Amino acid sequence: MNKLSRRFKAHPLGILLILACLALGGGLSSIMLGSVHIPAEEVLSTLLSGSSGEHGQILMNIRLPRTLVAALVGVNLALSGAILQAVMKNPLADPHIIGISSGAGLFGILIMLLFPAWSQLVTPVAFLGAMGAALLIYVLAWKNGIQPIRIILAGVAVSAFLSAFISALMILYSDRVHSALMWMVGGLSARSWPHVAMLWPYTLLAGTAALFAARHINILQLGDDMAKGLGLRVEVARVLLTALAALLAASAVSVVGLLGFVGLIVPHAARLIIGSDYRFLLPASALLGAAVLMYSDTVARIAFSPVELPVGILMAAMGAPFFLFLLRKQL
Amino acid sequence: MGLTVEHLCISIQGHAILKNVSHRFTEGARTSIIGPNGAGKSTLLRALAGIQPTSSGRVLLNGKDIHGMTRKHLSRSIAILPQGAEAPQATTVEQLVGFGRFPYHSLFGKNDAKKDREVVEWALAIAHVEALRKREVHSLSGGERQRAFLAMVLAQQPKILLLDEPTTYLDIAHQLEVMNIIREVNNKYGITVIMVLHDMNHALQFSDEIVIIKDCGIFASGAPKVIMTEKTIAEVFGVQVDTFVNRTGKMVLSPLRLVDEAGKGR
Repeated sequence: MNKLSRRFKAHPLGILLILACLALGGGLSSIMLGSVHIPAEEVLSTLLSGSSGEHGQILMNIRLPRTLVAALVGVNLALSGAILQAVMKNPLADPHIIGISSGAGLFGILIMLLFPAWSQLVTPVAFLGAMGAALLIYVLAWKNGIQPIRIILAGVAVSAFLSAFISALMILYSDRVHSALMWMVGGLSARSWPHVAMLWPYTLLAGTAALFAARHINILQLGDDMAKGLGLRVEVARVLLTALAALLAASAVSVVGLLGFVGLIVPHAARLIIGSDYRFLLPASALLGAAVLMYSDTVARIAFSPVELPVGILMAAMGAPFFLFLLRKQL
Repeated sequence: MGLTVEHLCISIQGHAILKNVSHRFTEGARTSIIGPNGAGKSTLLRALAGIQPTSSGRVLLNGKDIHGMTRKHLSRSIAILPQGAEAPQATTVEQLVGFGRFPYHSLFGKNDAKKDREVVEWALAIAHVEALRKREVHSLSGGERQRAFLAMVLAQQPKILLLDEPTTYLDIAHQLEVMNIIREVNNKYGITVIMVLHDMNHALQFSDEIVIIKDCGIFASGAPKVIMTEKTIAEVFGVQVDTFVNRTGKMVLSPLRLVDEAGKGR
């Protein structure tokens, strides 16, 4: 438990600083590396004094927005997972269990397969689907308040139900299934400024709200009775925090598709590094989420160049073994 | 601060747990609630803390219905240590005790940091966990852990402290240590203590008053020596006991055999 911080007696703020540097490094490498290599000096000069030439075009129109999308998605998914793990008191909690993925998945695929001409609607419609599924699970699980176990069970049921429609659509429209497959795995290719514009308000608003809620999340971790005894309105806190997690995850998933494992693995890794004080765990998860996604996307882009892997495949390939490692280590 | 219940009824999923319970808990005293398993002791304690939904009746703090107060305000007067409180991974004792200051923080975390530190130090000292402050709660023994949680609820600076079986699962030395802390909290700082106890000898030794719960209601209440008769205990628990007076002049019980309601052995 909390091995790193204990071994090095590191101050949590020091760890956050290191994670911030890690994220910056991820951003820089994501901007520099790819089919065209852009040296660091050129990146800096372009960012500081505007674009010039072919490299400037690539940087401003392709690399930079894509890197920002990766960072924002990483932040949103990691924060969402970290919040849900505390609210649901379940180490397996991630944006899947509140229906975000199946809801966004079904609605996104519906547009892609039935109305491919309206593909620009995928993001907003998937967002609505994600929030709709989360709301449905909420309503189904509601019985004199919200019990984590009922949310989890309702989540499994709703996800299975929606997945049936996803499978049906993919089989009925198997000729158009390629784009849907990419969406199911989750990837960042061709993500650009409009997606950045869609994401950042959620990152800013919900992220700030999450940081303000950190002390409340700490109290919630003490168990319902203890938390109530300390003056926390547990039911209200749980509803608001779940809504916050839903917003964060829905915004991310509607932009990049059903990217798994970030919301599950990153908060666990952050917890291992910095402990479970949410005042530090939330910013650590956010920074680590951004870093992990930016590095992973860089690797996914260049590993099999010129073919580009969706980053979701890499996340699952790396995330699953890491999850087993955690399992052996502490759970 | 006086705590009173009036005509309190509680049912959980259609099952009546408490029926028409009225009692005035003596201010500044140590009161123990005892009774058979499932009699509603914990439910009554939780209701006193305002964390148990009630069907009807009222819980009054200084004559004011606690359901009219905000949770935060209430938790500055009444602290409860429920059973099964858990600490998040890697939480140190000091952090845990700091959580007890939560009721004094504003929504955005504004607080009087100096006052918080002073109170946390005070609580650590009373519960004898000063030396453990940097230890992780998960690495502590059962007795140390219970004292750490006790320090946390003390950091709430309550006028009334509610404890649900504070000594369960502890060995005899740690039981005594916890009970001594509870007595000191009451004697020295005048905090009213109301606790659910399993061990009747503890109840006899450490309380000014005992409330016996049976069949969803209060069976008897009063000073230990007065109400804890062999007849009452046989009636409430179905156990015939021998009573002795120990060298400190306190009454102690020793169970002899199970008896039925008419007092016959079985």
